[in-house]
Amino acid sequence: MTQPVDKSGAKSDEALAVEAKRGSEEAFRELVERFHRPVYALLVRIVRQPELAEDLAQESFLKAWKALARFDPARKFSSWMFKIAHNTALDELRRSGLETVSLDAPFAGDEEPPEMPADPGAEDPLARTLARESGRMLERAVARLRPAYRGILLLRFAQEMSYDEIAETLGLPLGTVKIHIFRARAELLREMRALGLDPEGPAMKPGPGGTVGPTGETP
Amino acid sequence: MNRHSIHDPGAPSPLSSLPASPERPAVGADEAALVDWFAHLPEVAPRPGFVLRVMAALPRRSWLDARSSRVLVAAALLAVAVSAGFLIPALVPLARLVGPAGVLNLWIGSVANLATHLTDGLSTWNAFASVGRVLGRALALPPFIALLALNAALALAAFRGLVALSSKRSPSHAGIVALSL
Repeated sequence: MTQPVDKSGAKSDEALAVEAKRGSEEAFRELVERFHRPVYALLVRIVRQPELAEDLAQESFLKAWKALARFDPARKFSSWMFKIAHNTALDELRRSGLETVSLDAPFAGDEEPPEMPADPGAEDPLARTLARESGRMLERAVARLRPAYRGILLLRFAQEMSYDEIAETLGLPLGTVKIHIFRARAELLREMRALGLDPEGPAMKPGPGGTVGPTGETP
Repeated sequence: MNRHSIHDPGAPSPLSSLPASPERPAVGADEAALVDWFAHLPEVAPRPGFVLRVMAALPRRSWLDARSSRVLVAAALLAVAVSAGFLIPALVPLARLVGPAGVLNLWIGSVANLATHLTDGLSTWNAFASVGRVLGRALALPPFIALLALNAALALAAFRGLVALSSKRSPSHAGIVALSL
């Protein structure tokens, strides 16, 4: 059982879920506030369409609200929520066959998903540029993976879930999760190479002009 | 979610440290490096107002959504069905006495009577519920709570004073009063 209150004094996700289960819309609103960005980030990287991802995120939260009566507070709410979102995304992909489109484009359509503004004081401009550029290259490589691999890599490395949590989230045996992550990482490595990146070499570094390209060259 | 600092530009790529086999999945430092890499993914967010849109789309819950309520309703329906099983055979001789027109007349009369009583009951319930809501809200206000606490303290002090006074006049009576506290 998780603690009802965390170190900062805020209620835990599970405590809020229990309140929401009893009918508190305020508690559920707090959960939506906490999870709408990670859930959307997972969905938009699986389905590659910002508007569809937003619809699916909304659908996921509505499903969660309706299914709260079945939520077990001994489990992590985040795993439960990501499971609903992941299944919603995969159902949509199966229904519409979306996995065959938009592998090269960062996102389908003309519209990029809105990015969060960077904190201008957080890092120096060069470091920010490097971080943004390596993030974009990784985004492109992840986009070329099959949706199931995108999901599992994002749960592992973006959401930092343990193997056990991923197994619970995806409803898969632990061994299968390990194999999927191994294969997904191998596929990611291949895609990085296909994009002209050298994953075995040094990480991206600035060229002489202070700008960066996919392999560190100056444009 | 953790957000790690940017890579050391001279560091080897985290992707170069893939595990040798699925039986030995990577743990620790090499996966932490991948977490670092993934931390650089652009942060994305849905359009502003997403939370409000979700909350507006929530279906309102009714009392029947609770499992306990559904169980109670099912139990009540079962009780009605069982009692009807006993009641109907008992009413058959009466129905024969009054005839079909009489049964219809009694049926309409009983339904009208039931509806009237239910309406009366509901209006009484609504009135009590309104009073209860108003009182409940007032009781939750800090000045009202303070006033109640003050009243209680004054009443207690007055009662103790009375006990002390009566003990001077009649010790046996005061003892009984003190025991009853």
